[in-house]
Amino acid sequence: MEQVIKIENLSKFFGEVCVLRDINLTVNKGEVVCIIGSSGGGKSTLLRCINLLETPTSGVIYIDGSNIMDKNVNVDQLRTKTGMVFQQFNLFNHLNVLDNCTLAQLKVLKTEKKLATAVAAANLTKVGMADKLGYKINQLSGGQKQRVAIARALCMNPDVLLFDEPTSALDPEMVDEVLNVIKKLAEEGMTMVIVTHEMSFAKNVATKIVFIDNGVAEFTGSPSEVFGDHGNARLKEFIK
Amino acid sequence: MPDRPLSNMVLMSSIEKIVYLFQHYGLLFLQGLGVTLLLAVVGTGVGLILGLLLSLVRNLKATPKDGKLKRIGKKVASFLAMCYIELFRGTPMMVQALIIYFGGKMIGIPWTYLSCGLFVISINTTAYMAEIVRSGVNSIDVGQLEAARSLGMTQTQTMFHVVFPQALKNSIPTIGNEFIINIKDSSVLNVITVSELFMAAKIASSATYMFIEAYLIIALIYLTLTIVFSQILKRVEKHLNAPFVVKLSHERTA
Repeated sequence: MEQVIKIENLSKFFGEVCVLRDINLTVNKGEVVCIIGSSGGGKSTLLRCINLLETPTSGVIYIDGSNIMDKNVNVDQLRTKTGMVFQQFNLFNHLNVLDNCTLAQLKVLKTEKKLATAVAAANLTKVGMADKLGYKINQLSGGQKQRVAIARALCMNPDVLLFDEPTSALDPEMVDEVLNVIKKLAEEGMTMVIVTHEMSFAKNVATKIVFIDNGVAEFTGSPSEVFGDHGNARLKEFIK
Repeated sequence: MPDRPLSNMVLMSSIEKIVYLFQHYGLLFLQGLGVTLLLAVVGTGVGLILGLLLSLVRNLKATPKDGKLKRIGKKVASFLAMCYIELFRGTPMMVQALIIYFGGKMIGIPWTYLSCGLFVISINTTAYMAEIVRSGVNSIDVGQLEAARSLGMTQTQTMFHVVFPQALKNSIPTIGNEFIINIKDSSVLNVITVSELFMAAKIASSATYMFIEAYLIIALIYLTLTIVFSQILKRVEKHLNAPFVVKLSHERTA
């Protein structure tokens, strides 16, 4: 099976503090990996190491087979392959919905404007935001913002999408509209790594779940293994 | 009012003197007004562009990926930018003008009073603008930066397409304020005899001994300028902060 991400012995220190210790993880094409665990446990840091928003202290990360820790690797080019969706959406506030989705296409991929607009429109349609192209960001609800953010990431045609707690900043009634979009992407075969606190979502959508506690990958397995009978007391305590 | 010889001036009322000044020196004041506006516009415009670049240099930070040489280079550049800002904000523009004008002449720069004046006000404003832009940039949420970088944009692309547009919009009140300050502060450039508004009053008053009247005239002109421009500025701010409403045809209700 084709490996999109392979992480070997990844550790991350912030000064003296160890945030991640010896993480090993493989993400195959089409897989949906959910990372669960208590807040402050290092889940987001792990995700941010994958596109080098954080620089790992030690270890190796391969994306599509190439070592991204290599000094000669073009970080910007790498990041077009790993789309990211943030907890706080981080949409560009000075641009409208459509321009949010075309900016990086035009500047990074050097796509023609006509094509970039078409790609943006297609992805915005996919997330159900096709009727809001001209809207300013501050006119959107949280759920709408996050759906635009997903479309923005999709526009770069990434090999994997990284979600950093995509629903944690949303009002409860908006969580589902975002999760449904992610589910749809999973059905289409999109490779995704999702940091989440939505246990039922992880149970239903994930092909693999990683439980991270105090910077250590305590348990890795399929949803049935994680939610089934196993000997890990800490995990049992967490999903109780 | 018929022209009276200058010897009769003592007998003229202030109103008459003002009228006299307008009749004989009106063109000079008008020219001074033009030069003052030119100084303020060029100074603020050039200062903004150079200040933007200077703030980039000031904000240079070494990353772990940089080699030793690059790291030292960045630190030195950032330090020099800081020195520039401190130097120009920490000394009066009047003193800067004199040093730069005569210093320039000494090393053979063939500038006129006006071109030197434009140069001085521009590089002086640059220092202030660099700090204005820097605080504007710092006010932008780091998430904006991360989002742009996560899409593969370079640091420079991120600054010019994501951070600066938002930082500048937030800084418009302070930038406008800098323009209004420049309208007034360009008056100190009379020390190198730039023929701006203050210089016009100086010439007119020393030729006629109508000191109070001449300076009253330019005070009124300065005041009019600053009030007009601050009103315009308020309009612009209001316009920018107005909630943006898109009307799509299918959303219109009767």
